[in-house]
Amino acid sequence: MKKLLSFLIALCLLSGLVFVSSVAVFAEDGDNVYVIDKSGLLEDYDVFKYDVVLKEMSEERNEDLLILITDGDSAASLAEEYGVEVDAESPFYLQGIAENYYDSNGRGYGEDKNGILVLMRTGEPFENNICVCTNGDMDGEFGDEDIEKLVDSAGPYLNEGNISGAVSACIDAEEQFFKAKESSVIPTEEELFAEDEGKVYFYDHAKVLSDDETGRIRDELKSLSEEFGCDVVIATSAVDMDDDSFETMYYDNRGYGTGEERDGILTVIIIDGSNTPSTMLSLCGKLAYEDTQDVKNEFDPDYKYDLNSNNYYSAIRLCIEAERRYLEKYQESLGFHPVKKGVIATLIGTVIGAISTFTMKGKLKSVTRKNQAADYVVPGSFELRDSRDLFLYSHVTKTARPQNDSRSGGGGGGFHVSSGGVSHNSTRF
Amino acid sequence: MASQQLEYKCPCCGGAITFDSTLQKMKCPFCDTEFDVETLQQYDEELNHDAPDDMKWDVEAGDEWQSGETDGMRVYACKSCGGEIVGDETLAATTCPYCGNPVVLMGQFRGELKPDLIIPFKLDKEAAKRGLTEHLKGKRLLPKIFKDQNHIDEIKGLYVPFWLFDADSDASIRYKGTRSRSWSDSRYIYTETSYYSLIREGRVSFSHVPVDGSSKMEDELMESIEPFDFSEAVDFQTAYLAGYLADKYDVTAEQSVDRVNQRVKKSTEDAFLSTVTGYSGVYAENSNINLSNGKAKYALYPVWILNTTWNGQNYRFAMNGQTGKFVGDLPMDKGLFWKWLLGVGIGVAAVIFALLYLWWKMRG
Repeated sequence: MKKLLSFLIALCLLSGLVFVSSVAVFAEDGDNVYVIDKSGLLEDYDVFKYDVVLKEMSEERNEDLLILITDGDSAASLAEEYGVEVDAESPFYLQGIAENYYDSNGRGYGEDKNGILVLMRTGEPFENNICVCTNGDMDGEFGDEDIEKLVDSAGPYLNEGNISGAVSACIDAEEQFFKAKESSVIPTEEELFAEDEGKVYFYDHAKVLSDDETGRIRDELKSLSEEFGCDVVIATSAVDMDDDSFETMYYDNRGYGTGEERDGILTVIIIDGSNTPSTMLSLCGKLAYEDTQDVKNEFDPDYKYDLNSNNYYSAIRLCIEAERRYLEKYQESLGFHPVKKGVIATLIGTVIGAISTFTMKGKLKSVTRKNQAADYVVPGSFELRDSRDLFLYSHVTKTARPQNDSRSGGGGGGFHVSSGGVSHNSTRF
Repeated sequence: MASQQLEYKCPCCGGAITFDSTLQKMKCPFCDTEFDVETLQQYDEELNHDAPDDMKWDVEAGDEWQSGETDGMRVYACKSCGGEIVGDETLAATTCPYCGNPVVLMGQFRGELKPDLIIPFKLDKEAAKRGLTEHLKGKRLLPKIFKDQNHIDEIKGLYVPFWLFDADSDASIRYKGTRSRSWSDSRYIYTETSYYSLIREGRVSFSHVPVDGSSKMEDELMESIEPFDFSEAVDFQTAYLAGYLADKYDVTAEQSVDRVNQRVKKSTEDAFLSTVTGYSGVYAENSNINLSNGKAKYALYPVWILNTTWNGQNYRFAMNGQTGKFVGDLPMDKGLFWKWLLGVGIGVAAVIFALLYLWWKMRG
């Protein structure tokens, strides 16, 4: 009995020891670490930098996004830990390590342990040296195509030994995946523009107007375009896309725009049912060099009210009036305006005149106090006995970058050249 | 046995720091900043070294006149401004170098300290007159009539009394330095700012720092004509005074100490600051300067002086009688000021207007 009791106690102690050791081994890969560099090849600063970025992405997406970097030796060590008994060149080798690492470190967000672990192995370019392990909701969503894109973008960097570049490419691929996930299903041009109608200036793809209303709007926009010598196009859309897609589909590929630079204005009213309607406005050609705020300022406050109240015809008419007022002012601004230019010239002249005259006045003063005695330092007498720089602490702050106020990421917002080759300056409101 | 509780102050916010057993580091409960124990100990040691400056001088300068040395020297006084100057017995009627009024002979020079050193005049009156002419050249806002009515011949050579200070300055200075680095992704711009405590200790020596010993000479004017080349200084002899005036000191070396302390301290701090490199921001948290071997000497330095009055205002010019550096604030003709301001302003405005018109034409 005594022997049995002693044996049981010893067994408990041994189990406890094993448990504590496991915790100790994995404790270093503990919480709040998103870039784990077992190879030691990534610079400390890069580990810190990418860790901050991945932590940010993980918290925003409610996914645990990790990158584990190993070399041949550390991968072998992990394989031995987890009992992965396949050949190092087999695709299941890194997969086994990745899955075991993810599970044994308790990674994953929420009950379903959602997340993605990317395991990279540095060194000699084996064929399967990047493994992507998905968990929880990412299992079905981050599919083969997404994995292939990630591997194709990060692989070349890894093979040439640029670990930092590989990690950065990996993060970019994941970011692209999450952005694309948020986009709605985008229809093709063939689906949208079934017949070649020529320049009609208005498209009601959201089907919010009657045929009669559509006809009237088209006539009004045609005459507006002819009056100001630039194409003014308006469309309603039932799906949201990035700005570049709207511009290419509705303007560039439809042949809109006058003159060499294809001048005009494109307005797309997005009515997709799930959110309040929003407006994408794009100044095109020469107009792209103007400020979009000037157009927005011409919009009557009733425009938004009408959109939200489903008075689409009224809203579109207000849009046309706003764009007319803008074009009138724009045409006027193309004139010389001698008074305005005279004021500008006078202000600049005054500033330069003041600078030069005060400089001349300064030359009249030559008596100044001497606050130092540098001229009287004995040459060679300076002796630095002790010079110490002590690091105290550091802080990291982050500032949000200005984004377009668009729901689908607003690709192409601000001044840009669309994939159709036309200059655009777009905004959303 | 009473126990002594050690308290560290947070270098970031000044709060009392405690040891965080989870992190195994010191952590401030107020601003959440973490520190290594060793770094904090070193920083605290440096804080304990802070002490006030110790800047003392031996101001026993000058010598006793030997018998017969002052026989040829006379004292002249100005009834207008009360200034007293010393000249030799051959000096004819002259005007006060301070206010331009005539001086009267008071009598035989006696007493006072004998200067230790003198830098003899190297540049003559003609050079001084040329210096003044050059000084007035190219000053577009100077009234023309000022140039014409300048009594240039009244420029006088005057030996000005100076106290010269030597010292070794031992300094211990603590700076706070910052380094920043930034990176970004598509959504945020991240900035990491690291804070450092920078300690610099050492020594630098100063030789012959001058402070003018005459209350009649503006300190700013005398400092403006520096530096003097001390290598040309010689032991004082009355013969050097022949043909020139000399001022007597009426500001003692003790009274000059504050001024020299300011200059020595500033130069010491500048010298150590130049060793701090690689930081985006640096400022001195504490500076402790001790002077040793501080000595003063009494010397006469050569200065050409001219006083002139224009429009009720007195203007004084000075030229370094050794190097030729000429200084002196000049009056401004307000009419000329406005003419230049309007002329340049209108001219530039016209050119810009024309350019704007051409640009508009080219745009079509």
